[in-house]
Amino acid sequence: MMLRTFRNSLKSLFIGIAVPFLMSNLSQAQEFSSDKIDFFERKIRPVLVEHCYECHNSADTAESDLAVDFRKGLLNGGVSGASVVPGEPDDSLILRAMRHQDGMKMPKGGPKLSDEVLDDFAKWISDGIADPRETPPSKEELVQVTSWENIRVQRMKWWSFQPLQFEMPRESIWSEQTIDRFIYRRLVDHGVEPQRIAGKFALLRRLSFALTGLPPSQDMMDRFSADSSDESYEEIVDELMNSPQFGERWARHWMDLFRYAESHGSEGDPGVPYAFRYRDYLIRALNSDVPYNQMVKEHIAGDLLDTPRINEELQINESALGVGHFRFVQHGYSPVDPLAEQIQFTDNQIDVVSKAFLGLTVSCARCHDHKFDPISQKDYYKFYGIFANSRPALITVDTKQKQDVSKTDLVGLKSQIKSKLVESWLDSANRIKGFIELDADPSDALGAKWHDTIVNLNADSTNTPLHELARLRSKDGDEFATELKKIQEEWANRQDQLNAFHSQEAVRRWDLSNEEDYGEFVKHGSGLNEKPTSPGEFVIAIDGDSIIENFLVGGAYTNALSNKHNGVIHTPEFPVDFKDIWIKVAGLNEMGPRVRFAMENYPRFIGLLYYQHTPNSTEPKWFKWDMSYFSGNSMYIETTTGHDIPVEIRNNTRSWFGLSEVVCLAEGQTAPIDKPNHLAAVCDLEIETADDLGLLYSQALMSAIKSWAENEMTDEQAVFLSFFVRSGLLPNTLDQLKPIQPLVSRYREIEASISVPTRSPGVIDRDGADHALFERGNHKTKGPIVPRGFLEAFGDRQYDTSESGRRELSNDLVTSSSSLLARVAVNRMWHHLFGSGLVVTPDNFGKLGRVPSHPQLLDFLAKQFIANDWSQKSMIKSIVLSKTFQQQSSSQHEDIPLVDSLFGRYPIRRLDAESIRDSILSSAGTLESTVAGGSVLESSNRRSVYVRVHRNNPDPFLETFNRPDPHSTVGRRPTTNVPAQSLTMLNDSFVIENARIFATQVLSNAELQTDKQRIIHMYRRAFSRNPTTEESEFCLGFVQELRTQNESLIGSITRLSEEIGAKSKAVENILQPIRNRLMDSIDENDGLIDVPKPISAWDFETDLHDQIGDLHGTPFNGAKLENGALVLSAPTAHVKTEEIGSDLRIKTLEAVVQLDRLNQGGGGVITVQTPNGLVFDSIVYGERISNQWIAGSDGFRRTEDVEGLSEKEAHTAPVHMMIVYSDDGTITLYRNGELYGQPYKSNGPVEFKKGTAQVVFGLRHGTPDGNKLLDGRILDAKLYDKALSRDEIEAIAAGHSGFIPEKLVLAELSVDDRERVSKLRLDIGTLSDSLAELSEKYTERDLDTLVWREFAQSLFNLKEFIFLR
Amino acid sequence: MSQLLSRRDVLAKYSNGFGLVALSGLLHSENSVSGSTAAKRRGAVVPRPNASAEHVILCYMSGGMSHVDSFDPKPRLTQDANKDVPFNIERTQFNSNGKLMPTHWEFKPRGESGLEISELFPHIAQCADDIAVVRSMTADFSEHAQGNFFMHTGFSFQGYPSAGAWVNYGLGNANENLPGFVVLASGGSTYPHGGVGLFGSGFLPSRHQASTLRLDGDVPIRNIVPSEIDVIQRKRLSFINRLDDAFLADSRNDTNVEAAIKNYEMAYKMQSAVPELVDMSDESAATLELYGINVKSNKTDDYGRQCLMARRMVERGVRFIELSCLAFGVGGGGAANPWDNHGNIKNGHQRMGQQIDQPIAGLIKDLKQRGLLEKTLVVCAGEFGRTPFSQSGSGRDHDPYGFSIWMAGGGIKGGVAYGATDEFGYHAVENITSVYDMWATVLYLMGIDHEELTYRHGGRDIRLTDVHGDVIHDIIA
Repeated sequence: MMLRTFRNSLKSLFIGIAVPFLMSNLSQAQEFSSDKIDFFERKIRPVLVEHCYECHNSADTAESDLAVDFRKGLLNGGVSGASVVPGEPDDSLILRAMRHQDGMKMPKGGPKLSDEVLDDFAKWISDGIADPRETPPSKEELVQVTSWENIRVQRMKWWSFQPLQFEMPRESIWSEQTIDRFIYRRLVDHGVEPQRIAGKFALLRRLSFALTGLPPSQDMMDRFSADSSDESYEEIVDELMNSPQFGERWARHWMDLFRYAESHGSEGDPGVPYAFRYRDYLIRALNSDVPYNQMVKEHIAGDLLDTPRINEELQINESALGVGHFRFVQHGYSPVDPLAEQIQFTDNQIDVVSKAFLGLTVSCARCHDHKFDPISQKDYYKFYGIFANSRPALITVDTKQKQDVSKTDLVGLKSQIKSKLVESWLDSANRIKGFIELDADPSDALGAKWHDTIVNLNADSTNTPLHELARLRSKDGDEFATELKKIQEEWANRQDQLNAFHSQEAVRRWDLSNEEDYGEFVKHGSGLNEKPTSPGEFVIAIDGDSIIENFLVGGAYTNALSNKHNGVIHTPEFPVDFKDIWIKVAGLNEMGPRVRFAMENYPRFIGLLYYQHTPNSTEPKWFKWDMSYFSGNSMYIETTTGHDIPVEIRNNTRSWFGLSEVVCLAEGQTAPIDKPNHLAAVCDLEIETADDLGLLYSQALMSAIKSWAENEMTDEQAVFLSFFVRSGLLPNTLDQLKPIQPLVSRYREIEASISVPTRSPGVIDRDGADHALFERGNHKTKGPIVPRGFLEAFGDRQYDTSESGRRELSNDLVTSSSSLLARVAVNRMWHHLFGSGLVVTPDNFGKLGRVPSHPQLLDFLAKQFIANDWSQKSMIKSIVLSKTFQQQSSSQHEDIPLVDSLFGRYPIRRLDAESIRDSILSSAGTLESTVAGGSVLESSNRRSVYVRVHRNNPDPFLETFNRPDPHSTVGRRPTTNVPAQSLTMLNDSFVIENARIFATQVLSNAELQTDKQRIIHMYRRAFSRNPTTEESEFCLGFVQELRTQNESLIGSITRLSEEIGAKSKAVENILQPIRNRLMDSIDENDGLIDVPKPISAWDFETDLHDQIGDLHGTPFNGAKLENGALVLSAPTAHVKTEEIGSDLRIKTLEAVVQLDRLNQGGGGVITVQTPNGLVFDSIVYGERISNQWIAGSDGFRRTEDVEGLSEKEAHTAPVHMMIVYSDDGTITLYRNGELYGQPYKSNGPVEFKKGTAQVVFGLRHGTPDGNKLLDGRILDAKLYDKALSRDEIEAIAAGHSGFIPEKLVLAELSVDDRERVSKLRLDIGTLSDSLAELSEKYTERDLDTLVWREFAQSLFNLKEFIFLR
Repeated sequence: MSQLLSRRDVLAKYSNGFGLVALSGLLHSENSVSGSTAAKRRGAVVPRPNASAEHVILCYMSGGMSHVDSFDPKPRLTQDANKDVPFNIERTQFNSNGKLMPTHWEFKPRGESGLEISELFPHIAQCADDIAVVRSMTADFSEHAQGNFFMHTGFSFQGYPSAGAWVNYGLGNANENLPGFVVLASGGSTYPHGGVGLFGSGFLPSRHQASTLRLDGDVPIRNIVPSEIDVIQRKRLSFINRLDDAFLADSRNDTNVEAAIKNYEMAYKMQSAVPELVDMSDESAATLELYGINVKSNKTDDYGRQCLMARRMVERGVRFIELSCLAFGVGGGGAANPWDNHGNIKNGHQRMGQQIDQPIAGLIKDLKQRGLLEKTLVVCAGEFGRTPFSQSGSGRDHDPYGFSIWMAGGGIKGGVAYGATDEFGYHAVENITSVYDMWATVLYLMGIDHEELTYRHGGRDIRLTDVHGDVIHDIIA
């Protein structure tokens, strides 16, 4: 595809360009002077070889028929004619293309070659094209000159691959500091004067943002402005750099480099458990100035370091946290091609690591050697091998000491408990014979237990050691012999199958009780030991009366000492060249242990392809997966305790598993079976009568106990004994075994003090293996195996290791490539301090990046950095102490871009997203200083570095101001300018709320008595400076203006309310007499229809009492009564009643309601709900569709859109709403007595149980938040325990129950009155629209708060607030 | 501050009741756009002079619409109904593969062209002569999120620009008061799997990313509703402007500061432009009916309003509009992937088809009658098709190996079917096309050579079509 692209573009660029075609001296061999030939050899040939030969050569079909590998080829040219015209550089096609003239761009896809090269070509052409290449090279020669080796040597000449080199600049009159001397020298060269030192306030603000991301504190401003000593600046620098906020600021820069994210994206966007630990690690490391090279090593191999950094306070291995970034990759959902998935995320790891540390784009070499830099495709697969050998996991980062704390004590206690138990049990086991034989009255408690057990035995209880007893005890003679024979045969059959299973040549088989097999597994966590668990290992119950919880069999168990210990165990990787995988595992479902398979390192179990298994048995049991779907892929099996799965967050603090066997079987091979736990499993059933059974059980138990005592127990014995102990058939309670009590108590005390493991995202190394190269990047065509190792450009060392190779890579990075590593690092620091680096492409130091503006300064800084033990704080400090950094921002020079490129002033730049949000919080005084821990939502008042980063749900505020999407390394954030930013500052509730708090703080500050004092104070908080006199005056005027405006605004709100009230009253004055009259007349006709009586009714005349039942209401948040109506206009006003006194299933809700305005949505008029609001039925306005009524219910379970008419009147006149919930599930809505929309069928009315439901007014359900609240007034409400019929409802609406429909009333009015009502209502409508708009925007009615909030928000909106200078 | 008029003033003065058309025209004059926006409007490429399409409306069929039930007739499935699958089945997402399953909807030749479309889309069928179906589309992923990213960005993960962002980057936006790339949402629609990143600008400047416009609810675009009454907002803006001017002067007219100041003017205008845009009260009853708006029984209302809004946006110069299907929860398709009928495809697809059929047909007809169709490219595509064999007897699994998408307007040749799948509809076999080809074609119709629309990022010149893509000339008029 690349070739075709190339050809097309070349075609297009050669077409239509007329070039003089000079045939004259083509055939003549020419003599050129040796200096011209020398020039060609030094300046021209290498360029042709490196940039042109690949496509334009004589051996292959040359692109556009142009070959530049011999002189005649150049002169002849290609489809567009000669590419060079001797003596005419400007007419030579090759040079025009190299100059990117006429839309031609050569070399294809690369940057324009340097001016020097272009000048060389021009000179060479002018001088007659001296070129000794008379004949085309042979294919072999061509291969040789264009070999990767040759090209790499050429490319290694690029500046960033050279050793650090600089000459110390001469002293300057401007500054003694070395940095300044470098800067000054170039300024002088360009005739630019450096700027003088910025003012104190500006400098402090600049320093504070650059070092901590926050504005300076008021206290610091006071101190700094008061102190005129020479040292004060440096003191402030130290103070800021030593503050905890320094790490929070600089950690975020690292997070950009490592695309920090707390979820994996894609479908479901699952969490990266404990991602925040990496963030906190960065903050701590930067605050304590961990050397950069150490941090680099930790990022690559912190979990493997021989001498890791230990955090004594937290007792964790700090270094191990560094590898967390490997996990911030995106993961697909249940990929059908898991290898393609692995390539995606491994490629991203390579991309990020190589860009972040070396400024190199190694991932560009996935399909072919790098197009521009000395990085081969092999280099890429060296890295691939290293990273693909590192398995995604949740790792435990506690120190070994912490992980092993108390283990010795517990082991000792167990041993003591064991010997005491052996003693007691041998005695008991001896007596068991008697219990069984006599089958008679028990002599003691143990005997009684046996007696009960035996009496209750039945032949069905097959899978216990009492199986034989159950089947044989009541038999004798022939019957006994027959049954015994049957048992023996059954047993033999099982043995046969097991033997067949064991003796066959399985495709792959591991027995975890076998030390060698166990040793092959990758193990991690505090619960797994060097050696497998032996049969007879036992678990002490951590509470309750029992002592022993269980006996373990041989295998990999995590709970020998405590189920707070954790474990992760992996098989080696193996190909899917079999059909079924069988796994034998124990564990308890409620504690969440998991077995899953990792196909090509894919870390999730999900969907229907990536299975997981939760064991639920104390003894290991087999299960199998058919893996044929993944035939051809590679996999391993991962078994983890509940909290330790790599993706998604769990909360099982106690969990355990026991893994015993893993077997891969081909189609048709014999499957394993679970071996039953029978007497037969531990002894021969050579007996004659049932009476012998007693002896046999006694012997079997004695033998098991003795084996246990001597540490020679078998799996069968362990399972056998376990049963008797767990069932209480051997003494196992503290009560029975008093002498053991103190030991057990001590054990439990110690166990309780074991802390939960500290987990962090990470990787676990597997057995090292080299990776094959993918031809042209296609994973379906594997090429040669590439040994893992370091980049060719830095020595090409190979890693011969049984680990992943990360350990070696981490060493190589900080040694073999230290110059580049240091250059990249110091440039990043410079970039963050100035907003622009010495290399302006901080993530690309290769050919497509930009060359440094001050190469010598860069190298000087890099050298200094290394010399100062890679101390980032020292480096940052030396930069901010420079005069260069302290220059003022304004410059009178006319060429500002030039000045900025020379650092001839301090550039003006917009603050980044986090600083904008943080300084809003800081100015408002709401910023919380809590550090570390799980991430928080945007609404939190903590620093933005702690705001969560979910891929599919980015934080809108921070995203708007360019917090990067976590995709790849971002060393230089784009700063865009989009309306969403202004809209956020103008209208976002976060900004407004903080402005409000800012205002209330200022108003309640007793020291601020005058407006002027307030303004000065707010200026200082927002801009870290005092306002000028003019500014103060201007602000005073503005505040006064705001006051006038808001006064009139609040006046309008009051006036509007009053007017609406007056007009409503006028309407009522006209209507009420008519209504009364109609009511009276209807009462006289009572009995037309017998309307069912409600079970509750509220008329809201004098109180919230239920006039019929006991559902009396209580008002909340400003709900009040007014003119016989419940007024719900306050923002969260609502009413809740007592709980219902009888069950309620079939029901009818009724309410007469008038809305404050039509453009509201989601509020409930009358609701029946469970007290937490999780289940409810409600008359709801405008929730799913604007202006429509629905029968609201929990999760819309009974809700459908009935598609009734849009409400147009309810804000001017009351409407009568009823919803009927019938027995068959039909739900019918009525408005003013008429059917509203279409009835529909739900899956039945929900039943509210007596005492567990209540009625609510004005709130849809639950807590009063979101859009659940109704703004309006309820005049009347009723609740029925019947489904009212249509006739009944019409009757009610016709006034039979107190509501007279509007149309009846209006019909009775005189024409004049009707017009008056109509006019009044029109006015009310208009007025309430206006009122509604105002009420919505101005929930705050306190004039002062309003004024100062608006002022505060105006300050946030000033550009000075978001720009730093 | 004098140029900051009240919203009411602006509307009264410039719209003259014609809504935003006049307004937007005015706002393009140099007086009203800031110095820096002049550069912003200029695209990265100069379109071919005879380019046909200026706008794209992408009707995204999230979840994967079944091609064998809609645009790709396969009589063989009916003949061999319920027989064992006679071909090799690729790895499927649910690995629960059943027998060959015929369609529930009859295919008929439509229009003069005779293009076959099933009864799933009776209204769209009326537009057959405007439609070019590509029956040999292929994608590389059988999973929703990766498929969605692939379809939108040409890459399977977050971090790359969406097609709408590319188009805006390439051509610039034609209306400074509205975003150039808009995703419409209504009712219960949500983002497809993969989330908001599907509509991101990736490494392109973030002004090219999509804005989500909700057609119901009080806030169509985040923070677009002014937090205060106009008179106070104007007072504040005037205060801000005065102090900002001083700051700007102090910063020697720093271009970034200046742009940020101008930005407030645009934001202020958007506060009125957007409500004006979403207010459809000026649409005639006949128009509403054409789109199936207010016809609740057919469930066409929500999607109809999106389609109508798309036309209104085309009229106002918005470059790229994407529509979101709503879910009916039948057969497994949730809000994020409503077409995903792994079970009961009969009911699920019927409800989904009903939802979009009349609205999309209405959109095409309306665009046509207003003379907008020739410059507006309507694209209907999902992330993949569905298997010709059943899943759990009544549904279909994902099939990215051969499925159908269609386009209309914007220079597309109507009434044609291009490419073909095998006789069962499983794999594309004839004129196999890829998502890259689809976007290459869309860009071509907009006058852009997809190989020229590049952006240098991470050491590479990246394209919407990666290193692939061929224009499908056979469907171009």
